Amino acid sequence: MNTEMKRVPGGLAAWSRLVTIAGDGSAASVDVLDLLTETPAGWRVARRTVHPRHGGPAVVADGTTPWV
Amino acid sequence: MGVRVVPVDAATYAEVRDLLARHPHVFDNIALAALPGAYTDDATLGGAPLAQLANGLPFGRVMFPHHTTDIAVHRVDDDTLRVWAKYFVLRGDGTAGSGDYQDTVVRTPRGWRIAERDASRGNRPDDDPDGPSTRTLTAATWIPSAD
Repeated sequence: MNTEMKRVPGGLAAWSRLVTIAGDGSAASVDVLDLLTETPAGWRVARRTVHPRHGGPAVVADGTTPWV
Repeated sequence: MGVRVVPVDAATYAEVRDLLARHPHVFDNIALAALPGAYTDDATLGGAPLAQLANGLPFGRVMFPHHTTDIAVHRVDDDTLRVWAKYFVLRGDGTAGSGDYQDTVVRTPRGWRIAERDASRGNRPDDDPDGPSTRTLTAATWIPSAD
């Protein structure tokens, strides 16, 4: 969710939030950065990196540097 | 008597959804250089100037992530929208808190931008870490009735 997209060399970059709900009802969130490339079969994820937002540094952008 | 929602076309809705996605990424990372991508230069949050509030953000702290959902858009005129959305925050201990956003979104030379944002905390306990419920946003504040 909250996917923000922009064009980058080679395709598109997407910055999203991924929410997990555990069996005890607790929830957690991670940032997901995808590099998408267009293939003859359609758009595909070429690279995915996952940044958990809890328990450590989570900043994946400072507003000026590319985030994928 | 209820409010009458004036819908927007699918392309405009997609632009608004993209715009509202930027707020969590900007604020949770305190990426202030990206503020012009989401807000007008004279934007307000809760009636206070955004530029003033931004200076008070806790730099160096990892912010708990915000998530924006349930986006409803009302067209005021060709250059002005009123947007009502839900948000939830997920904390490090796995608990969650909900709330509402109501925005005035305006057309600018660089695209749609948030000019005004009001937020209220939704159904929360009195001892919620972010504070108790402050449910102040309603259909009437989303779309004020025309006189």
